[in-house]
Amino acid sequence: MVANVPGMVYQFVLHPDGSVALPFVSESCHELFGIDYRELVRDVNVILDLIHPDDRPRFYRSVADSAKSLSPWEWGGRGVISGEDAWFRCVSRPERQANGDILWDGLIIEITERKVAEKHIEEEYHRAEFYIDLMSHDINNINQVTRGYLELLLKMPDLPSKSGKYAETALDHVRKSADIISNVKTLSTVRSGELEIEKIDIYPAFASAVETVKSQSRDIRINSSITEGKYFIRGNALLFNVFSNLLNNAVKFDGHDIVEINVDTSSQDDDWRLEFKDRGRGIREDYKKVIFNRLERAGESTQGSGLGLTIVKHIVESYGGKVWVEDRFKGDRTQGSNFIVLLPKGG
Amino acid sequence: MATVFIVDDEPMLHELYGAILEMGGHEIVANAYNGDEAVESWSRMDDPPAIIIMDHRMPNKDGVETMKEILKINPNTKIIFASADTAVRNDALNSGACSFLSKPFAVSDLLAGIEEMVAEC
Repeated sequence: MVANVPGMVYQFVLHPDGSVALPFVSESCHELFGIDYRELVRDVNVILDLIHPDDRPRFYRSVADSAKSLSPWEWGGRGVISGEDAWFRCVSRPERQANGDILWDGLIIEITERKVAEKHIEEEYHRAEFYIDLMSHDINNINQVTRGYLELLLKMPDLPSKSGKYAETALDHVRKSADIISNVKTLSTVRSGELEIEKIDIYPAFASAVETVKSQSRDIRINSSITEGKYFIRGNALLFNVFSNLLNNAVKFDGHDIVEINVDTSSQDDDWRLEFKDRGRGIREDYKKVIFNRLERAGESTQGSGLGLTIVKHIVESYGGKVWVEDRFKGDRTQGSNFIVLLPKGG
Repeated sequence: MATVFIVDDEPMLHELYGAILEMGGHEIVANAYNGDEAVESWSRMDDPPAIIIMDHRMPNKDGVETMKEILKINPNTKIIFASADTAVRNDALNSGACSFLSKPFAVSDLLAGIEEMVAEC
């Protein structure tokens, strides 16, 4: 049975005088290390010398800790086999013997393929981050040139009205392009965890978001009791993106001449509960979860890049919070939606 | 009318800013395409421009470092930081930039920023 186990089954002993040995090694050690099991039983240093020099200090420290506390031993590290690095995972359980020996029964398996895959994933992640960074910077420079000249064109006197319309449409799409880049960059920032989470007042982010949303050429009224120094959460600068995306969403889908949004705040256990109530066209039941995940959109047509609510969800969840949507009036989605955000209190 | 120094590694942005500032009645009096060139030019100017428009990501020295060196020469220099790199906003403002514009910004935002600084002079 032992010969059939994928990996090397072994017993490792630490004598009271500090010497060590391998009283038992299964035959599969040859598969892992290219060494006959009898050689290891004869001289434990044959295997100890295979441990990668950089990983040896950690190996011996972990064995000493396990011996001291008699806690299960787990170690992952490199061996140098035929000149090449290989990764191994070792697990064993110690037991003190009557003569003072400590005897571990354990298993060693090779995990080189997994480690190589993990390294590859990390490299690909860094490459993706680099491309996002490059794209956002370089394309935004191009967007700046395009936006600048279109705006200058629109300021020209005697511009034919059709030319003006074409320029406005082009300008609108430059802004959308910039929004998409901004959203992708924000999502990347949230996922990277590079911004620390700390105690913050939600007011500055909320006030900035309100100011930004209200700068649009529509009559927008936002009713809220959020004031400075009243609501503290554990968050970061990305909170602005949560509020601006929720408010912009509310404006986008409200077809009234006067847009009205109510933002209600209340305490719910250890969280602040914020409710963003709009008078938009409402959201179908089957769509209520999907709208927070850009990759799983339902058939309904959408405006904009569609990343806004996905970003809200990622940011809120990075704070340990939660976001979801309900009908503003239960059972009647035609009266608008209520986006509910729970944000852990800042203490 | 303000005199302006453009520091950006993209020639196309120098041209754009030229068109914008001309429309606003201002004048570009100097151009630099990297941080070292900007500091070198600034240190040799007898009559430095009123305002610098500073990019961040440039060869050999970034915008924040360039700005710090220029402010060491003249702490009263008025600098508008214009960058596609929004992550640098707080650093730029804390290091002495008067304002930060995130590319792609509106023409009116740049001109308003310049007017505000001219009014403060």
